[in-house]
Amino acid sequence: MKQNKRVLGFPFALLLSAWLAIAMLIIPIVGLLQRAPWSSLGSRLLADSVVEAMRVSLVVSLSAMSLCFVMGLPLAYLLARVDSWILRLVRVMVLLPMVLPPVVAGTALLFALGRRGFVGQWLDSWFGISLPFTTAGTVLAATFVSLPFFVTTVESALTSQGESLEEAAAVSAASPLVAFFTVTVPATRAAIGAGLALAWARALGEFGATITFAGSLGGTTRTLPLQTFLALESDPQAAIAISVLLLTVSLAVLLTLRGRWLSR
Amino acid sequence: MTKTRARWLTALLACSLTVAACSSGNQRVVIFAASSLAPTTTRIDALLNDDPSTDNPDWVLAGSSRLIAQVRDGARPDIIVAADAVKLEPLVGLGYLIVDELQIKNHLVLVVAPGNPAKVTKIQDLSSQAPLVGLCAAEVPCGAAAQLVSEELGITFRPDTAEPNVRALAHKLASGELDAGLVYATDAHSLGLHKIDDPFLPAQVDCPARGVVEYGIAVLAASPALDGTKPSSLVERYLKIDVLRDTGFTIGLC
Repeated sequence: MKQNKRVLGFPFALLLSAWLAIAMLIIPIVGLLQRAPWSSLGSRLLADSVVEAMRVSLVVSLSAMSLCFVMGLPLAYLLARVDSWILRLVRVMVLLPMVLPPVVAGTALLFALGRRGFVGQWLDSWFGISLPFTTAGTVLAATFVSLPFFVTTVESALTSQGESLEEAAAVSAASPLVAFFTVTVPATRAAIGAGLALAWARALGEFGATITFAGSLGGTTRTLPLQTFLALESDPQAAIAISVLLLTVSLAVLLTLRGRWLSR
Repeated sequence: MTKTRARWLTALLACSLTVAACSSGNQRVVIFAASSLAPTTTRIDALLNDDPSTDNPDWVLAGSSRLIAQVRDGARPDIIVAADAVKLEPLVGLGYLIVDELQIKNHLVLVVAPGNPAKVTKIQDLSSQAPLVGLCAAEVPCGAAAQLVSEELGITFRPDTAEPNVRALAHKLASGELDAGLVYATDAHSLGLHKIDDPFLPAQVDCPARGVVEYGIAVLAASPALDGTKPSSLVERYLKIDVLRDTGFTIGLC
């Protein structure tokens, strides 16, 4: 009843535009689903090349997610608790991979960490480490693009949560590091979970930075999105099958987030 | 009626796929061309700009498989040039005439990073572990061509990356991120890559087996641009042989 009243009072012109937006979001998904080869979906997803890409994708996205956690959690804490002009600049830099075209990100990574890159050439000549065309390079590309999703989610939670819990811990004589792990982290676990899920989903879908920086080789660097792009050239039905899989995974992540962390 | 609609659709597709000027309406000739012709089309456009008798065409550049798929989905370009002659044959049923008077060929070349750091001297070096090797994925024409060569030679390449796009591969070789690889002569030419003089196989071997790719050309039979002229003359008005040669293609029969 209450909801009906709201729709009736809603300005018609705005309602129309809103519906256009909904249509714009949903129609491409329907387009994908109506072309999907439902009867052969299972066998296409179990093809050797696809299973191989799934394995690479899982390894890469989970590694990227772990790196986001290890490096991103301290950064989010720093941004939420310390204020300086440098950190305000860092906050903008953290967002950059979100808005940067992934291909540009890949090119930037190549010029920095590639074999002829300004950091990469030293990695190569001093340690014999070469990142492009390796699984590690793929992880790096995925981490670069997914880090902002984790950091911004956790930072905003830490900021809104405030310092009262940590101050209470300090009164009971806990060291700042102990207070961080025993008080702050548990209190932020919902946001950390949400940030991890978003970062993982972004890493799973990563394409542009990966192909530019890490190349594409079955079993090493060819993730599911790369396999999809390649399949479009020779076997579009297989490409659609992988797309349906990635769509399902993304939807599952969003629905879980909505159900577990975002609803009240 | 349907013809007008088809032309309109083609123009729309051309507009949506390229940054080409769409304001000139549907008078311009639409040419679908394989990506490998990109540097060639730039040069041809420059020539046509100075030629008042011929309007510049609207080029739509993409991978050959994708171009052919678009025609199958209803696009009707006046001319289509694909990097695979065989793949064009089904278009005959869609109102296209195959033009075989102009034989455009491209061939795979062995190229190395600037300075040849891995000291690659022959195609057999691509099957060793040492150099960072880049090839095209077997799913795209340049990768399929490389596979035929390896089969004829009886060796297995050990690539570190199998790229879906030959231009991307060529750029990685040009920047020195990869040591060696097989790209088209046209890419080596336009990027000034360092070629290793290796014919792979003797000239008696069939073209495809030694890395030579034959392009196919088809003209829309109902194209208004045809207007009584021979399809091959229409093609040669736009695909200028001198420019094709200058940009790394070879002309003539296999």
